[in-house]
Amino acid sequence: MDCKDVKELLGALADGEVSDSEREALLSHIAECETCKNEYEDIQNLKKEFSKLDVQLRGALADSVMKKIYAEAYPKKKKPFFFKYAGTAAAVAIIAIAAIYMGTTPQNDKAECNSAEDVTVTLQASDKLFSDDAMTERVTESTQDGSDYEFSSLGKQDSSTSTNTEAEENKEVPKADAKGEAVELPSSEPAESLFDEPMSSAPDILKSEDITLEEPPCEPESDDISLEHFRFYNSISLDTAIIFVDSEVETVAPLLDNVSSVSGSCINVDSHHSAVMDILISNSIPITKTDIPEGSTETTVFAE
Amino acid sequence: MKKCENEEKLIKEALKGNASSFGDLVRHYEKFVFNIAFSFMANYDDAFDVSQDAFIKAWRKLSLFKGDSAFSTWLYRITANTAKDALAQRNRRWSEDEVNEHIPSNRETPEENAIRQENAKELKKALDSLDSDMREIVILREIEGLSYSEISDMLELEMGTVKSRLSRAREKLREILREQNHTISVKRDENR
Repeated sequence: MDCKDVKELLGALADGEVSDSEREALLSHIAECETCKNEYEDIQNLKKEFSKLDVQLRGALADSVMKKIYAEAYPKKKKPFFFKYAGTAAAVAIIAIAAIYMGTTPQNDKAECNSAEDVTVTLQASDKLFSDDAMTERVTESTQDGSDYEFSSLGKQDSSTSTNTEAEENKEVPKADAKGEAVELPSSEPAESLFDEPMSSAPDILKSEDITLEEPPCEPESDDISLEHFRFYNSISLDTAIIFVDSEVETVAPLLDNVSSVSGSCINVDSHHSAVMDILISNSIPITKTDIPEGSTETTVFAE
Repeated sequence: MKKCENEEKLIKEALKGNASSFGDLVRHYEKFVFNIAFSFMANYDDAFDVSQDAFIKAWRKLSLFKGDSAFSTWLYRITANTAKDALAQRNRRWSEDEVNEHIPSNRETPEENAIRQENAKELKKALDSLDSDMREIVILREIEGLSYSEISDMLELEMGTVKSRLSRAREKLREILREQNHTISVKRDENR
């Protein structure tokens, strides 16, 4: 090899990008040629200098990027029928209203359990309940066609609010089918009644956009469970928490075993929701789910 | 550039609109994208902005990624184009303030640290003196550590062109450093 050919390959030699035969020939030449040897050393020194040169990323580029992407992917949508959570006073009002709907008398609790038709409270999750827009979108998407979430509770049915079909005494509990059709499981325990007199229609307070509860304090679960958006929220009024699971059901299943130990859970599953429903039912977690929009990949259920 | 774990799956999920899957890709490639952006912008804040814009463009245009090149290659092209667009609107050079980005080694004496800082400063100036094609290829090789094959794919160049361009870039750098009386070449001359 002559020096001209060698010089062109010295960089590749330093980068380890030459074949074995080329390497042997180049090293052999370098051993005998001072000029090429010096040039090779220069290149190696230059590489060493570059290895020390590194611009450190300050701050969280990824976090900044994802904040913008989430805002774009899950824009806030104003819904006509918000149930916003804030303030203890509003929470108390909601508890009172829910209790009114429950409306069982202490003497006939058990009978009422079996004979009362379900009272439902129609609501849609508020943007403010969740700490990021992703959560909001996951919940609001499943209500975009007006589907209602039902709380299985005891008390007088109110025709103006209920979206249930009638629940008869000793009715067989239907299971969720593969399409995730509405499933209602009556509560296995009598509901407590704070008020005797049920309300005859959905109170306006539930439709008010001013009602808010304090945002749940819970933090996302750690990464060691390998779930996205896995969070527990403890709601204030209706004793429900919310789990958002953005992962496969195989990962979800062991965690759902813990759901029953949580004081109420609302589970939003981004996929395989039918399978998750089956797991919840098989774990005897009382749930209510209804009216999942056709083709929706999300399910929101409330467990009690 | 090492691929992200489960990269194909993450891309597939992201294409369905799963932003959190895209987030995993962002976290894996953030330094890579930033280094590329920095190589063009020569300024931390501008590089940060370009990096953000590049990732957002990648998110919006993800459906255009066909998988016929590595995802890193695709990301590189978006970043480079974003940086070039940004550069067209401004005229920046290596800022003196960026020189001390490197975190000093605890094992260095103060003198060694000062020498390293000075060398870094000179090297950056020299790098800035190169034309953009040469600077780009040097950054990809020396800072990103990409193989010739990866560079060839990323810049859509023949392997021979990668080798020759890199060779010319290094020759030019050495020439500039000699003119600056840089310690690298001075050291070698002293050892003769």
